[in-house]
Amino acid sequence: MADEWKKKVIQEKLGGKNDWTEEERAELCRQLDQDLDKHIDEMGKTKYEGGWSEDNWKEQMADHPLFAPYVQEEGVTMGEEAPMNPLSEGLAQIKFDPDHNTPEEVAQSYKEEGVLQFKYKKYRLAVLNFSEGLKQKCSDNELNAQLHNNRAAAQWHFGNYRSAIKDCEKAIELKPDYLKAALRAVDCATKLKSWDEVFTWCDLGLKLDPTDQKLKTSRLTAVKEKKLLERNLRKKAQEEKKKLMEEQNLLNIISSRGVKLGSTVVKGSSSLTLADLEPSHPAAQGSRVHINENGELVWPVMLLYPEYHESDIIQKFTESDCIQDHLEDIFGNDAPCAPWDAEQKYRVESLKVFFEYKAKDQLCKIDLNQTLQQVLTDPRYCVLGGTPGFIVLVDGSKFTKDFMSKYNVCT
Amino acid sequence: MTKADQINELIQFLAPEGRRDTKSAACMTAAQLTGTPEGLSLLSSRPDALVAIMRLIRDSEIYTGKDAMRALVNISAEESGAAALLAVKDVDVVSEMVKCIEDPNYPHADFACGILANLSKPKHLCQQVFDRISEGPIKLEGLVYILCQINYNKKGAKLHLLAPVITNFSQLADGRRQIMVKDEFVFQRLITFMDYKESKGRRMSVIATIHNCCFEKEYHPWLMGEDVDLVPRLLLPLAGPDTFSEEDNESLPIDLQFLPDDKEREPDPEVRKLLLEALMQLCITRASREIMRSQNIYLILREHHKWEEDQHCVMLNEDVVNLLLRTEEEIGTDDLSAVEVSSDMAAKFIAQDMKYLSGVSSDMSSLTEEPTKGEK
Repeated sequence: MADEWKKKVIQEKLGGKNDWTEEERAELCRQLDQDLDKHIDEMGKTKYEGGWSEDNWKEQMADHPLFAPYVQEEGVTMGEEAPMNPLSEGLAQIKFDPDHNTPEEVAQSYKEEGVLQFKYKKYRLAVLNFSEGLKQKCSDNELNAQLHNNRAAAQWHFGNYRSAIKDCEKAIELKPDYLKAALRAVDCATKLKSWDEVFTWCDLGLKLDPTDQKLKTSRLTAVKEKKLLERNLRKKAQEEKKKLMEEQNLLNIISSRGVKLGSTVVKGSSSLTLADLEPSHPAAQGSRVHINENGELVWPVMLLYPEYHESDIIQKFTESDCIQDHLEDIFGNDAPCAPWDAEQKYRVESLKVFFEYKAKDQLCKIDLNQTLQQVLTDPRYCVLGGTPGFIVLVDGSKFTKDFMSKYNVCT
Repeated sequence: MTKADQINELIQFLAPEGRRDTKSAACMTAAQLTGTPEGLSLLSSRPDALVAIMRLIRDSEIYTGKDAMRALVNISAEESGAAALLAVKDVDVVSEMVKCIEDPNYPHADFACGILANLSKPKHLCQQVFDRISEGPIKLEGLVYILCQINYNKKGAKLHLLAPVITNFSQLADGRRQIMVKDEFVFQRLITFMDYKESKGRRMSVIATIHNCCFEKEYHPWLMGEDVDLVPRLLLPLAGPDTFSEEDNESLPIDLQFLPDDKEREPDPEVRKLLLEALMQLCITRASREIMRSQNIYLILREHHKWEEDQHCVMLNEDVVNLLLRTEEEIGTDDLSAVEVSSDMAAKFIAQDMKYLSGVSSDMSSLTEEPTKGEK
């Protein structure tokens, strides 16, 4: 860019000539001086209007070569990059060009620039500047330690605590008595809730300054927080274990009852899992089979009404309840007719209940005075999807006859 | 050639600027000498020999340095040898050992810890060792800092034997005070090793140190306060797998809540004894007893009592429980250490304890009248 600017001047003043003689050079200087004098003479004659106003000073300042950032913020792609003012680039060159400066000077310049950006809360730019400074790999360990520490400070503002701690480690490595870096690491480790790290950093810091009140407080807090964290982990582990045991107990009871469980995946009866018991019907979810205070199994039960493609879910069907009891609740004399029951014929006294024995395409009739447990232990019965299901039909209706004709009915 | 001549010759060969092979052989001879009582007393009686050995501990030949340290371990193990080493003028054995321990790259740092532990073991030498350390750059606080950093030594030394050094210092009033400087975190760092599984020696020494510190009554409020919170730490090694209801669990200090099923109790009865004696010490004031009651630690002691098989530990457990279960009106005095126990009564109590320990039943309620059980 600076080259382009040079070309522009050459173009304007010398018609694009590159090989200058000493006389020509002197002539150009004289001309430029004249221009300047003329400019100064004319000043005052016209009112000065180019100044920054209260409204636009921020933008003006941001564009001014003296104040414009040297390093572009990340995330701006090359194409969109605001063209850097050539003067600004020239200044940057004076400060940062490794050909004109020692690595220490360049690193120092980047540090100052980073600190400036940090003050303006431009933390990303600050990080970039400090990183550039570190890239110089200068021999001044004090300076490098400061760059690491400062970068840690900037990282902190992004919440990059892990990166910040790494910078603190490096800073302390380079400058073992760097209390500031230790303090920052304590803050970062606290944010990460990494309490063992907090101890280590506090102890390191307290070695440097045994009177630092903040370190003492942080250490005490970390001890308490760690205890709490560990307690909570233990509690959680215990709860999980308890849950697991309860679930195992549930599976044991189910298999001791002789209830067969089926799932969509075919497998042997020995590998009962809880997944087999999770109700697949949305209305039954959350009411998975469980054990009540009397040690009885409580199942979610589904009643199917194929005639109307309707169903009911009884969420808590205790195994000692009779089928009849629940039918009374739904279709008894005191209960209103189901909204889908257009002909009002689903009344308890006229209902028949069956279950499907899939292996033999059989429809098995259930004695309504049987308990759920008795039905489920029928060797032909298999609980699918963790939810026992029964087919409810109206005795003697046309639909019932048609429906039953598709099966081998056994009564 | 007389024995003295032989020693003179040995000392010549031990000179640091001497030939490598003869130096190495001489140092090995010196180390072997310390293996016999005669050799030990011979070397102990010759300060110049001790100086010569001490000058070889950092010899460039690693085995020579190791032999020198082994010789010093053996010499310091005998009280007379320890005294002789401390009396050497030209080289300060204490500061030399501290330097060895402080150096993370010194390969024989474990020997150095052992030598310091040996030197500080006899009570009359302990103060001297402690004073010399207190004058040096690394004081007790610094030693504990080193002790508490796992893998401090990069050459594989474990530094476990630094723990008994601290225990020895905890027998001194000055030592206890330095361990319990309120915001230096010496005590708090030690506490974390109370259930250190990797080394029984370190664990036992740390607990013995804490046990000794519990004899400082004026520190009890601090020890039991939230900055240290010692009571749950003393009980944790006595606690087994959790058997409590959720409600009981919540009533305990959080360190003791919801312990896992595989929680193991401290396996060594000697260590459990120290823990229970420390608890007993904390029980001597009313304020402390009230704190312990509010922490409901009786639950832990109850379960420990069911499990405990060592008679002495059972007795100590019952002593603490008796104090915690009784009301303050029944105990009748705020500070049990202020109770005057006449010598004939004390003798009677000790006899009762002995009887109890030998398995003969005795009246438990009278046992607890003795408040100062547990000797330093």
